Order: sequence, then structure tokens, then C-alpha cells
Amino acid sequence: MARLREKWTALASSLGFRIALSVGLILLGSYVFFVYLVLDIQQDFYFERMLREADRFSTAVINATNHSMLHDDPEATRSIVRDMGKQEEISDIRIYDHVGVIKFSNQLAEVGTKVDQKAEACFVCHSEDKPFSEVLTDKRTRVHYHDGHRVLGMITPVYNKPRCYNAVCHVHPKEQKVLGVLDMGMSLKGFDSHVRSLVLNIVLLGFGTFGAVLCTIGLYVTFRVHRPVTELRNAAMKIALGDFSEKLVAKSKDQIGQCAWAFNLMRDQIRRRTRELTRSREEYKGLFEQVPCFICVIDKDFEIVRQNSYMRELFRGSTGMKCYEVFKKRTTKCEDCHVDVTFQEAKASGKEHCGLKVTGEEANYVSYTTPVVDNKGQVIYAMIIAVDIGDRVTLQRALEASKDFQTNLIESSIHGIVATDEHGRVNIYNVAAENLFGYPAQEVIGDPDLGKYFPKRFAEKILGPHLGRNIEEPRLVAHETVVTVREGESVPVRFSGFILFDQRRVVGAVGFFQDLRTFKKLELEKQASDRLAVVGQTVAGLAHGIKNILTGLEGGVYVVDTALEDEDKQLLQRGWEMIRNNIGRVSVLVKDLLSYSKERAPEYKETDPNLLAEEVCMLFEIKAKEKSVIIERDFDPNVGKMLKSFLDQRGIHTCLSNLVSNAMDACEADTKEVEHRIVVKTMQDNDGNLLYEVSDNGAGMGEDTKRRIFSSFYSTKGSRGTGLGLLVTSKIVAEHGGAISFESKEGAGSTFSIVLPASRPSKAFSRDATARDQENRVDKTASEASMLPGSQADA
Amino acid sequence: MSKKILVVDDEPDILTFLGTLLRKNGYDVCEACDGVEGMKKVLEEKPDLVCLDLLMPEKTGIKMYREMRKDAQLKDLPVIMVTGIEAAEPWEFSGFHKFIEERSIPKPQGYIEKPIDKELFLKAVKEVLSE
Repeated sequence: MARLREKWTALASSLGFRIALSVGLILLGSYVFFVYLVLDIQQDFYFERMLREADRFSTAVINATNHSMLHDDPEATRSIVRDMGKQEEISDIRIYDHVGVIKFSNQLAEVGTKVDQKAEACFVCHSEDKPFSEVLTDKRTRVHYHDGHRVLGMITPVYNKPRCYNAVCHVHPKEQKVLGVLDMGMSLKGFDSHVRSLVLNIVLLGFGTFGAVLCTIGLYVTFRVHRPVTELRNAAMKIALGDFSEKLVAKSKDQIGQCAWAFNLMRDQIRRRTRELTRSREEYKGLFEQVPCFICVIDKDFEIVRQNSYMRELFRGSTGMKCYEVFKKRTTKCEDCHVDVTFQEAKASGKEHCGLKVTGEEANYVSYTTPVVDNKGQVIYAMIIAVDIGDRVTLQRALEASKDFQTNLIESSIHGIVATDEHGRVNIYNVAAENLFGYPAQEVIGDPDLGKYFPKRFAEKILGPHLGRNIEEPRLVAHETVVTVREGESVPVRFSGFILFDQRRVVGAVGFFQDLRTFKKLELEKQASDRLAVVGQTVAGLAHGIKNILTGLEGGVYVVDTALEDEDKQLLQRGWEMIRNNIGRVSVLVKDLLSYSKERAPEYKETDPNLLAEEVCMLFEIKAKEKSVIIERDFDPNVGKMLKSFLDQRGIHTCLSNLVSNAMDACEADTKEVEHRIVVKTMQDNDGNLLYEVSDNGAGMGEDTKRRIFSSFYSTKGSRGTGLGLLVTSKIVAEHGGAISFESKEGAGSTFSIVLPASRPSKAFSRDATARDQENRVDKTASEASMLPGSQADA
Repeated sequence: MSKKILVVDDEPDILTFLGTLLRKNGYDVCEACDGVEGMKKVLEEKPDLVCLDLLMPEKTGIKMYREMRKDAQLKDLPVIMVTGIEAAEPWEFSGFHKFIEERSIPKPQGYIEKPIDKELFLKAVKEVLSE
């Protein structure tokens, strides 16, 4: 039943069925109406003909009976009536007189009977009590049933004509209008039979035609409308379900066919669009998931509706969670929520945020929020696209920290720092530089006049590339120079400058200025304090020396006393020797002290260095022989010839004497069974530097002694040395601007060298010597053997 | 029997002076002019006391003192340090102290500064020899 209803519903909703039904009903209605119309017309036509026939027949009867009536021949009239009544179509015929008595009839039984004027047949004319003289034909007829078939009854009045009332019988007066009535009944059997057959034929023909037309329309609708439309519907359903496989076949060129063609076109378009849509959806999906930034969609309750994998991994949030829970691990909405703006004003907005990753680390990101609107323009979602700027923030912080550090470094540097940009304008000028130069920073920044700050040589280096010159040496290190400051004062500085490159392109320059004012002042103070320290050390050493001498003297006195008491002559001699020795030591000490401390102005004279050396050798010759030591001379004959030497003869004599004396002592102290010799050597190089060298093959010095020969009052000679010999030597060498050095190997011997630089005699020579030596100290790394002025030793 | 004292000093005057002083006061005296000779004499003469100069060439008094203290035979031999070093020269003085403290070497039994006061020296000798 249900299936049936379903089928009916499907059928009722089918377009073909509806068209067929509508067409059928219209057709049916039209046919019924047509048949009715045709029948009605036919019936009316035939009935009219019947009426005319009946009228003509009635008139003919009246005319036929007229003669017999005039002649008052009732028999003839009767015969006519009887004969007429025998006609097949005539069912009955009668003539009434003017009072309604039947005078003549084909049915003899009723002759003489009177009819009621109220009877149905009479009522038409007699409705108003008096007979109606002239009535219309249709008013005079009536249809009634007789013997099972219809009969058309017609009343025809027989009017009083002149012939009648003028007849000889004078039966009918003139004023009588109607003489009687002919009542004729025509059987409608044939007529009805004809009409019936006509109706039957027409109805049959109508139904046949209707059926044929309906079938034709039904078949047409089924094949040309229903099927294509069903196919169209099924194909549309398939497309709706995403199946684009079915292609419709356009069987006709009518609108349905065009519709199928258009449908195929539409299908192709939809399929293409769908594919494009699918592809772009896949692309967007891929983009959504793979894009290196995190994307999420949140609804008005700030709940996450969708998120991409990047975000999932970064924050481990899931859909349905609140955005602030996921991004910032907080339980309430952010005070500075910018998604709110998007929802309320339907506007895109952007902001930098700092959230928390699932690892607990900071997540720095820039988020852009765009509204997602529905058809009515209402914002339903907000899409957040955020770019992770963690690396950028880290770098930025590191950069800021580094910048701060560098700025602090530059600003807190005790050295003045001035740097220029690539255009050769000052862009860094620190506090120390401000203090040094005296120009305020705001005046200097941007200043292109570099000569004001940098030494000329460096300023030229900086400006070189701007003038198209190549930079040969991009640095100037530890250059001692003088800068002129704002007040016009010349300030000594140590300057280091560097041209800055970035991939071989000059991007600026930087200069470091060490203010040497304090340094120079300290240097002077140090020299003074060194002098004081030397005095202190000298005094201490002196006290030590004197103390030893004093011990010797006291001991000597005690020994002498004991010897006198015991009358021991030998002991007395020893005691007296002790006293004498110690008095001698006092004498030597005082002499050395005088020679060291005496501010004797050196007297520089043109000197033959070899002659001076020869004098010293001669002086020690006898003593050397006593001690079996050979003094050898290795003099360069050209010394003093090519370049003249200006020396303080007494000073250099003392130096050489000390060295030869030391060498002799070393030989004496040596226990080796060899022939001891001392070599005195002279040399002069092209620059005029003079070299004296005294070597021996004596005892040499141990590491301990080597270290300590520079200590004040250090002596390896016990009671015989004062510890001042080398001190005096180095002082004189320093006065000449020279240097003293030595090499020694324990058990093999020592070599002491004095280098005296070539120099013209000058009054300021002595005073300059110290300063010059200071420079030498910077340029040369002091060798272990370097013996510089200020160091004191006596080997 | 009189006690034997070894005097080690690089200055002959000191040796003569201390030798004379000690002999005069009844001690046997032997002498050495440096640390090397001093060690030799210590082993040969087997003295009851060593008077040792702190600063000497060749082998300093400090080295000799350390060697004696390392030697099982000599480690208890009394020593009087004789030196010109005073408290006024702290760099040297503390150096010696540091030297013996760092190496956990026992302190010498006596300590006499130059110039030598005869009475103080003899008193120190007597004290060390427990006379």
C-alpha cells in the first residue's frame, strides 16, 4: 500500500503525468463540450425540422379539410382525418370544435368527448380563460410519451375566415375568431432513434479521437518530455552527489534536446569548476597546513574552530579550546585582545604578541586578524594568521643587548673614541673623546672636518677612497702624536686608527685616543719615585755593606784584643789584617759611591775607541800576568775612521775597567784547569753604532746569579766587591744612549756587550738619553740580557 | 770534653772573629767558607752545633740548612742562623720564613743578626747547647 502510494506520489509529481493529465482533462472537457454542442445543434436542427414538418402537415390537414368543412361534409372530413391518421409518423390526429369537443379523430372512441381547458395541451392558449387566438408555433407544440415513445403534439387553431362565416350554412358567426383546433401528434420514435444513433456515433467518435489524441500526447510526453526530464533529473542528482560520469545524449533538436546539450555544457563547466575548486581547496588546505606561520579560525566565544599543524605543534591546543588558553596559557581573555576589534568593527587588525609555547618558552609572533563574514555580512569567525618572530625577537634582543653593550663599551671607555660613517662624517664621539677634545658631542656628530680630530696621516687615509686613492695600510697602531683641543692646547695622545671595511667596501673609520697627559705626569712622578726607591735601596745596601765592614772591624778589634791578651803574635797579625782590609773596603765603597752619585757632566770628545780600549788593557796587563790570565785585543782597525765617535773618555774607561776587572775575577774564581783569557773587542757598523765586547772563559754565571746581578749591592765577591760596579757602568752607558747586555754560561764564561749609538755631541745629549731609551723600550722587546739604565747590578 | 762548633761563612773575617770568640770561650771550632764545604765538614767533624750564614755564594745557608734537615743523621743537629738580614728588610726575611714554612722545615734553634753582639751570640750558643 505504502509502495503504491509512493508510486502514486512519484507519478503525481512527474511532469509527463501532469502534462498528460492536464492535456487529457482539457481535451476531455473540450470533447464533452463539443459533443454536447454538436448534439444540441443537431437535435435542435432536427426538432425544428420536425416542427416545420408538423406545422406544414397541420396546415395541409386544415387545408385538406377546409373544403369538406365548407361543404359541411363530415364524412369526407372524417375520411381525411382517418387517412391522415394512418400515416406512420402520425400517432394521433383530432379536431376540436370551439368548445373543446372532439369532432374528428383517427381514434373513433374519443369522438364526441370534450377536453378540459385546463389540460396540459390546452393550457397554452387558455391560460387566461379566453382562448388565445394567435399563438407562436413553439408555444403550440408539446412533447409527451405515448406507447413508450415520445410524441410531438401540435395544436393548430382553425381560424374563422370570411369564407366560413359567409358560407350559406351560416353556422359560424363572423365574430367568432377561432372555429376549432387541430391537435396532431407526431411520433418522435424515428427522430429519437436517429438522435440516439447520432449521439452514439458522435460520442464514439469523440472518445476514439480523445483516446487517440491522449495516447499520442501521452507517448509524446513520455518519450519526448518524461524520459529526457527523468534522465536530466537523474543526471542532475548524480552531479549533486559529485558523479560527473554521465553524459546526456541529445536525441532531439527541440528545447529538451537543447536542454540536454546545455546540461552537458553545464556539467562540464561544473566538473571543471569543481575540479578547480577541489584542486584549489587542496592547495589551500596544503597551504593552510604547510604555511610556515600558524593559522587558526576562532568563533565569537574565542573558541578555536580550526587550526593548522604548525600551530598544533607550537601550542598543542585543540579545537574547542579558548584562544587565550592556547596562546597564552591563561584563563581569562586578554585585556588587549585585538580579535575583539575584528568581531565588533569587522575590521582586520594586527599586533605583536608574546605567548607561551607548550615547552614553556616564549612564543613571539605578529598576528593579523581578518573577519570571516556570512551572507548577511555578519562576522561569524575571525581568522588569525600569525608569523613566528621568535628568531627575529631573539636576534633583536641580542642586537639590542650587543648595541647596548657596545654603546656602554664605547661610552665607558676611558679612551676617546671617534668614528666616521662611510661619507666621512663623524658618527661616534664618546664621553672620553668629549672630555679630551672639549667640543660638545652635538657639535661634532655629522662634522666632516676630520682633520680637527684625527692625526693628519689618518685623516688622509680616511679621505683617500673619497679622492679615488687606494688605501695601502688600513691601520695606524699605537702612534704617539699630539692633538689640538678646543682650548688650543696640544695634548699628547697615543692614537690607534682603523679603516672599517664591509666586504672590501669602506664603511667608515674609527680612532682611539689614549690621553697621555696623566700618563706623562705619572711617568715623571714614577721617575721621581724610582729615584727615591733607588735612594732607599742604596741606603739599605749601603747599610748592609757598612754593617759587614763594621762586623769585620769589630771582629778584627776583638781578635787583636785576644791576641794582645794571649800574646799570640800570629793572631795579632790576622786581627790587624782584618782591620786593614775593612778600612780598605770602606775606601773602595766610598769611591764607588762617589762615582755613582756624582753628577759629573760627561765630556764628549772625538775619541779613538781602540785607543781607549788599549789603555784599559794596558792597565790590567800586570795584574793579569800575576793571575795567569791573558788579555787579548780584537780591535777593528776601521773603528772611528769612517765615522767619528764622540765619547766621554773617562766614563767609557771606567766602564771597560769594570768589565775587564769582573772578567778577571771570573777567571780567578774558575776552577777549570785551562788557560784563562779575556778578549776585548771593538766594532762599528755603518750607522756608526759602536760595540765594545769583553768576554772571558772564566766561571760564568749560574741562573741565580744571572737573575740577581741586577739587584742592588749584589756581589759574588764577598768582602772584595761593593755591588756597585755594574751600576756605575750601566749609568755611564745610559748617559751615552747605549745599552749593555750579556751572555753567560756557567762553567764556560761570560760576554758583556756595550752598544753606543752614533750621535753627534750635544749639550742636551745627557738629558735626552733617558727619554730616548724610553722609546727604545717600546720598540724593542727587552731581551733577557738587556741591561737598561735604572737597573743596578754588579757582577 | 768541649763541644765542637762548625762556623760556615763566606767572609774570612767573620770566620776569624767567630773562631777566635768561640775558642776563647772553650769550644772546639772548625770552619767552612761556603755551603758545599759546610756540608762536607758537618759529616766529617760531626759538630755539636752549626753557626750558619744565610747568604753565601755557591750554596746558600738556606740550601745547606734544608739539606741538613732532610738528612736523617743531621736533622736534629742544632743550628744558629747568622745573617745580616734584619726585620727592616722584610722581603728577604719573610722570604726565608716563607721558605721554611712552605716546606714544613723546622725552624733553626737560634737566630743571630749581624753585626754580631758577642754576649748575645755566646748566650745563644749556650742556650742551644743546653749548658
